[in-house]
Amino acid sequence: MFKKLLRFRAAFMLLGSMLLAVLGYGQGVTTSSINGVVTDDKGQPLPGATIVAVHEPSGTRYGITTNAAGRYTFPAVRIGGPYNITVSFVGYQDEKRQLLSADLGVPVSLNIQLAEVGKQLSEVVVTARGSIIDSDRSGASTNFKKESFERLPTLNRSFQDFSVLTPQAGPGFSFGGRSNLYNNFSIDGATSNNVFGLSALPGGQSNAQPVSVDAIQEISVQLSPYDVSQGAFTGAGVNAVTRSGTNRLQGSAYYYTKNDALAGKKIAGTELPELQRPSFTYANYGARLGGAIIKNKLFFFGNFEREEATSPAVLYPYGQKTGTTVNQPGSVLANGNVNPETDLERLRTFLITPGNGKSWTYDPGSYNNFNVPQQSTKFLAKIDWNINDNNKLTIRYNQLNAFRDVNPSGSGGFASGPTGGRANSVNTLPFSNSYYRILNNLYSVFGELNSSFGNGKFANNLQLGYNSFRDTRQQGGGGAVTPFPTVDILGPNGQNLTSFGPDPFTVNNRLDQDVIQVNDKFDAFLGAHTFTLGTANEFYKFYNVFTQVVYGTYQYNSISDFINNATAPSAANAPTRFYQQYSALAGNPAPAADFKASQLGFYVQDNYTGVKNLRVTAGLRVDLPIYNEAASGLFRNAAVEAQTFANGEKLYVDKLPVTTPLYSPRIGFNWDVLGNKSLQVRGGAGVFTGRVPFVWISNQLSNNGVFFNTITSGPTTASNPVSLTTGQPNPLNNVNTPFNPDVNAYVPKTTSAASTYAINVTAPNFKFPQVFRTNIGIDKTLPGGFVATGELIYTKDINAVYIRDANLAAPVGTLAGDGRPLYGTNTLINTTGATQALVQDNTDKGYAFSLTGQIQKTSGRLNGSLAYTFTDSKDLNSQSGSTAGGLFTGNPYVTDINSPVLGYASNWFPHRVVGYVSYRLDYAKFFATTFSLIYEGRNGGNFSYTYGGAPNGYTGASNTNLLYVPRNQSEILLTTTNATDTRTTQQIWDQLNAYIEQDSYLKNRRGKYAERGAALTPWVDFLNLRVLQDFKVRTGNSNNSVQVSLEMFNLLNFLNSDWGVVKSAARTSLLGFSGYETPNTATGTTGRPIYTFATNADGSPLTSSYVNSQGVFNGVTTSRWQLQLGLRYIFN
Amino acid sequence: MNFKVETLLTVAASALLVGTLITGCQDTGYPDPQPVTTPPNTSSKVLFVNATADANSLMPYLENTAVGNALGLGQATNYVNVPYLGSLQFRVKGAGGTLGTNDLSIKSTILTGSNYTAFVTDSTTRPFVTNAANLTTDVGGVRLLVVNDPLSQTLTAGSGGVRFFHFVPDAGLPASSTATTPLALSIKLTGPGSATSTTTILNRAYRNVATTAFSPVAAGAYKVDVYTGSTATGTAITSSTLTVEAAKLYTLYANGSTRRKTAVVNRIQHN
Repeated sequence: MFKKLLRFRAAFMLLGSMLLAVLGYGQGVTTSSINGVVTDDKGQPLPGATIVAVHEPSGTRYGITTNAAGRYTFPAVRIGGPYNITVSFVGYQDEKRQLLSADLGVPVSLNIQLAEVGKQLSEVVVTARGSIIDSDRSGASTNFKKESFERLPTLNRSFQDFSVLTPQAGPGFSFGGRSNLYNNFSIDGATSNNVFGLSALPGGQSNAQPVSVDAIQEISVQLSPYDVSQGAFTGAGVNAVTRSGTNRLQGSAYYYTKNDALAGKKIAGTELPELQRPSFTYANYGARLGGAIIKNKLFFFGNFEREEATSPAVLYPYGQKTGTTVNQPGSVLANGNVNPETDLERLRTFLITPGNGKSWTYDPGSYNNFNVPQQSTKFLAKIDWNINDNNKLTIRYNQLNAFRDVNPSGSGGFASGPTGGRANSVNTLPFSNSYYRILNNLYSVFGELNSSFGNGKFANNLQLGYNSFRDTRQQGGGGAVTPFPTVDILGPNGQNLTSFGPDPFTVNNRLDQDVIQVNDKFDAFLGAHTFTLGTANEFYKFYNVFTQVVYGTYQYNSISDFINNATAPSAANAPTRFYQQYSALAGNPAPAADFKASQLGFYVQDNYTGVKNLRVTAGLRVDLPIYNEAASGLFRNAAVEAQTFANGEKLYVDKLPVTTPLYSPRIGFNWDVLGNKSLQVRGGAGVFTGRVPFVWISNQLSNNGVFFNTITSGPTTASNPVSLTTGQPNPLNNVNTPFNPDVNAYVPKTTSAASTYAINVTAPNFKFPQVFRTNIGIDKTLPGGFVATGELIYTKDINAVYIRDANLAAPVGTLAGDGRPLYGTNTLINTTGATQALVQDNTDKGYAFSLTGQIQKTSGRLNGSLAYTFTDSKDLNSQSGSTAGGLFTGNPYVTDINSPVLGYASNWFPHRVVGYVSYRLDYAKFFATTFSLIYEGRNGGNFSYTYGGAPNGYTGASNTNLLYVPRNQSEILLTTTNATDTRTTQQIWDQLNAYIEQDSYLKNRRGKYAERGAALTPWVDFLNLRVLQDFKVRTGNSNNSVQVSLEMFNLLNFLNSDWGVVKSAARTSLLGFSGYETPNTATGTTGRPIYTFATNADGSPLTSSYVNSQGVFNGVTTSRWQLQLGLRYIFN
Repeated sequence: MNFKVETLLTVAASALLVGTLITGCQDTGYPDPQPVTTPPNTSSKVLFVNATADANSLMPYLENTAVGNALGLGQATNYVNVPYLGSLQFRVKGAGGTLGTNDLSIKSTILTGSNYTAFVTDSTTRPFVTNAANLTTDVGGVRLLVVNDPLSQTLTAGSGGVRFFHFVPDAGLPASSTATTPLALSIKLTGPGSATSTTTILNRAYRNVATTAFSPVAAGAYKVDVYTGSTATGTAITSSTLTVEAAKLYTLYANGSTRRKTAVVNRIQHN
């Protein structure tokens, strides 16, 4: 009988895993927990038994006695191990157990039987680890420990390289098909998101990581924790717990490097030309050190890391050939001289030389041979204090300073930008001072106190944190922006040739975020019930300045026109465009969105274990998003208040939504079916409340029609005569805006609000995102130490976000090509004041569904995992931008743009296989070798087939009308693309028909619309390898290792250049819209639309849906292999 | 009691699973399209005219489909229906190597229910324009000009309609001159019949097609004289005859080269 018991217990104990699936147990979990029942040799519970658990590396002690039911709980123990657990009771023999490791959020269930003195049980000291099969696990989640970070390949030295091993992970730090802006990322339980939302994580805009991989002890990715103390996400909750010091002094110093010489040259058998293999360098180095200040009492841990990367800014240099095309900048005349109208040297000399007919000089920077650097410095320091057996305190400080240089934006902001953009290409070569530097700075301090009262009957967790983000912009290369207008000069081919002067979105650009967190969680352990009461609160303060085009932008047809206009202005050399936005608030040249908000949360929960083999958790959480209107700087706009919008709606730009409590009830269960931990069924259902990226709220404060006014000048026409107005020339005529280096030359002296503008508002009863989520999971142990898991997760939107334009008139007709709604020529309801009124509102449409099968082996020398996930995710608008305008006009659609329908979400891989395998061999006393492989196989990214232009008449959103796929030639009118197109109509149709036939999505959509996000790029396979070679030497009492690491990414491309190739869509705007048979009218009557199907640039027909992607990430193309070398010294 | 709870839970879990699978997943919400059933609007017509000075043989194409036969100097095709409306490509190839290897092509917008004449004008020797800022926009040689023909214009009873275009690239320029800007031309119709009354269209600039309307001219036979300058006086550079019928519309155009003494006036009858 004992032996049987022991066997089961051993079997359970031996189930361990490096990658565990766990239930998070607490708000922003940073700890583990150990609980169980102490019984006598007859199986009766033993109340009053003493249990002591000691975390051996740090000597941290936890002590408790069992309650009336013989049950004990250590609710918050330090993660890691090993733990030595001793149980004693008068009259019984002491029992000792060793727990190898207590894992993040994995409650360890350890039941112990005592034998009376004189009786023998067994001498087996079993090692126990937390397990996949554990009664506290009900939701879907995945866990990664530091051993993973040390063994598995990571190209970017980023924890995101591990979070993608979650079976339900999607592109770009997204999970389960949901947008990555809806995750909650916390470090040691402190919210560390970029809550403003310009990137999913802090440091994202400068490609930096908020915390070093070397500082992390464990990461958990929670998709559906039914514990109500977890909140603030509808995607996934990702929590990283940092390392802590132990009694032993431990440390490491490391250096990793990669560069273009260590990268492949071939994609699909073709060697890429050198220009498409830009040189780059990358180095990541740092150190960590942890130890005890007072043994068993006070510990420290610190980590420092620096990352430096550079790549050349100019891929298409001045005067060089790119393939068979001659770069326009520096194009050569027949006589061998450089064409003066593409001679950037001539332009530069004019600008920097004093005199030359002008009174000013300006240094535009260089046009060749400069780099775009990327740098980050991270620092983390942590103190752990075991105040006494019942109180443990942790304080952590971390800091990130990062920057990256970026090429100038091609956008014109409120106007359209220059044709061809401003980034370096065959046609365009901007000067280096129009590049900008984006700086991300994060300072964060956090403290946590874990206390236990009443002899283990009660426990409390208190967390206080403060995050400070300071994001700014500078000139490329560093330094403040010199006040000077932006100048775009077109080349002879009508495309933008060059730009100089600052990037139009950099001046004054600044975002300060301050986030204060106060969380408290109180647990009461009462027999079979564990009651929890808690609160989780965040207080935000945002200060955002975004003054686009505030120095003005000029555009000229040629370099000569600019030079002449700057020295001797006339009608012949006048700029073809001048536009500027200026502050309409007197005395405030840079109006800011300045607001405060907070999110309060309260929750109560019961965790019930009264029924044998069953654990049920039920709880309720209330979230209260509060917008602090009174303390925020909101401006009224009386003109907008007087307007009436669609359906009689009235809008108020100075009003933020009312506070609506959002309730999240949740229930979860875990059932050990056979009672021996070999088969568990778990699941639950509940509501999860997230937060919106606050930039969507900030948009309302900045786009209120009151802050800014604009000047736009164009060619002389009858409506903008040359006459002068009092004191200022009429700027509407570009003859009256000759080039002036004074950025305020044309700003009116008395400013007034614009007469037409766009506003962003949030609907008065707008609610933060909420989803209903349910999951069922089954875990079964298999022989050989394997565990099989099946998981189903279903998510339904309760409050999702979508944008509508309240000033947009409804469609008035139907398009005589496929019957879609057609907008008339009068699309504005109000033609003055707010002519675009974007309202952020809620919808309940949208869902995600995923089904996962996984098999893992987590013990022994060889361990690994393999998982397949099927995902279906649909929404109205895949919300991944920051401006309301972009979110509204960038969404592909067919019907009324104000009433979007369900399409496929952006973060969606329908099929995904992910796995890893790792093998470590210690040999010959001094050596150890580790091989690890990560495999990912999945569909490529998805995209939408659209028309270029707007056949449905709403020109405010271009390139987003979804394609109608014609069944035969009579259903579509096709015309030549341009004057040089040599194809007959029949030839154009034959090419289009052949293209549709070879496209795996379109050929099944004949007679139907192409759905948003339904087309997929081909399946990709990635295999990443890491080899670690350790040389170990023991000096005195310490272990020293030197570790050489070699990581290869996209190993398949290394083995065969036809493998590991990523493809992207060749042309998503498949057809161009050329016009209607008869012009559109106010009542929306047109003839049929006429389309073009362009050839490739070289005149060959478009025959394939995909092209090989040479897309670059952090200097490395995804289709080529890349090697990273590293050297590390490890002390202890 | 434990057993009941477990059974209940199994049933609940299965129900959740099945319920989810059945009701949870939805199709995308796009409506069924209503494909078009009407044919394209082909109500408009186009004709080509070889009004060049020296391109002997030009083959005209509309959207890369040939329109009629090769045109000699002063020849015109008949009206052809357009395949559809919108921005259509007019192309002219030099049959027999007249234009070298370069085709001439432009796109021009065709509106519903309208007629157009596409003139090929200029001389094949028109120089490449060397303005540095316009490097690639004007390669010289012949050019296309598309003109609207207002065939529904109402005329006074008993009259036809006449309009005049000037396509002589070197009008009024002496052979020895290097000037490139031609002078204006004026045209005088004398008649009808033996009458001495005149109808003039004066001071038509080179390639100026701003006035597309027809001027009413009483039916009858006329002598047509073309003069250099803004008045129909002096020595005519070329002459011809024109018989005007009531309600018929005519375009008279002068092409050729005065320096090479090949200037002529040709006519197109539109209806």
